[in-house]
Amino acid sequence: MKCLVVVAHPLPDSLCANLATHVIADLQQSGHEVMVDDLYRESFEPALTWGERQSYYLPAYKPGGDVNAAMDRLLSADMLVLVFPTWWFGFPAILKGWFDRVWSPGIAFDHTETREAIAPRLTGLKHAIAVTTLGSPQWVDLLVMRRPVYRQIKYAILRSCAPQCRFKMLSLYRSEHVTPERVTDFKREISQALAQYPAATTAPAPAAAAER
Amino acid sequence: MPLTLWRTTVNVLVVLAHPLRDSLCHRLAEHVSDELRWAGHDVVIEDLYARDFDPALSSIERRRYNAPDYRAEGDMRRPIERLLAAEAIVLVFPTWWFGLPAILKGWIDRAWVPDIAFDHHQDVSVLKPLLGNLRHLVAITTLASPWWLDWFLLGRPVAKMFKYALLPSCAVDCRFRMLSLYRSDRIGETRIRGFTARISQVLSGLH
Repeated sequence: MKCLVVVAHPLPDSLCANLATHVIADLQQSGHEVMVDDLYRESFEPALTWGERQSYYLPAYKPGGDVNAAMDRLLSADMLVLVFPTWWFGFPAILKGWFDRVWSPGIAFDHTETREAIAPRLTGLKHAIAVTTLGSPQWVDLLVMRRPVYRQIKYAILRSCAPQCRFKMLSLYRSEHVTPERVTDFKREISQALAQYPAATTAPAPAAAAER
Repeated sequence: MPLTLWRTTVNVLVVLAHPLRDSLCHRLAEHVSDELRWAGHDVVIEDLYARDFDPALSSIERRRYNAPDYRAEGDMRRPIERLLAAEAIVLVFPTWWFGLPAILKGWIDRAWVPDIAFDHHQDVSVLKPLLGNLRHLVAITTLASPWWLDWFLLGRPVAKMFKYALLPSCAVDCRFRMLSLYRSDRIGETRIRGFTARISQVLSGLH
């Protein structure tokens, strides 16, 4: 499968960067084709621009030139893996900006004439996995906040742009108190989730199978 | 309408996060600042797009986040001063994908930081609120979604973030109000006027 891994942490020695490295290695080992959008390393500009907002509802949406490549990668992906820290129970601004600017009209969805709903365009996207670290304990996320990031990805974004996409979220809670054992367990959980996806969507790739 | 003479002056920070000057959000923000000034409050406008605000928490900021001496980047000095001086904050923004626009999320990520908005050095799991001045937070938002989708399917993620995550950690005595204009992409003048009247009513309670 063609996998797009989107990473959104400013520090290369962070837990998130470590998890992203694990994800990428795992996917490559299974024979997937991996594309990486490391938003901080690319100095991704998160703010939807004047021109983008101005043309948002026009027949010809005019995205900034700096997001063209990111749009192509999103369009070609069969699988999306997001790796990010949860800050204030939301995406880091740079990742929110990736959704605001890359999941745009004509790419991720089309406006419909009635504007009652939007029409999905990412019909090739089959799987999405969100890997996140957060300082909060699990009960606050589940019981008080009711999993806002999970709901946002599943019900707001994927439901509108890729309704066929299966979504799984893996959260490492209390990540500021994390022990090496918990990181190892969490990586195992990630590997298990990723292992459910065969490298080829129709038939298994013989080369990749032989390597293993 | 309130009488200016009988009210105390409140330092209000209005944070605006829409790229288009002719947007509904700009119109609402203008209404907000007119109302507040008429009522005699001190109003500072933080127009994030006009300031070309950089939303991404930097590597230096992240590196120092858990260090004893958090240090913001130079471009954050004025936004942080303004946050510290605010007794009331009014946010005016469009809701995109049931979340804040990136530029506004970045304002929170970068201004509501350790030693400014909260203290976490004793125990990172319990934040000690530091924004003792802040008494009101009013979030005014426009969104294309119908209300029931926000309430029942999404569970009001934006309101929850302010009410249960940000304010309990940074400003415990702060009163939170959320005013959402649903289906904002297909409404007429009557509903906009109804919404601005609601805004005026809420703002008249600032003291």
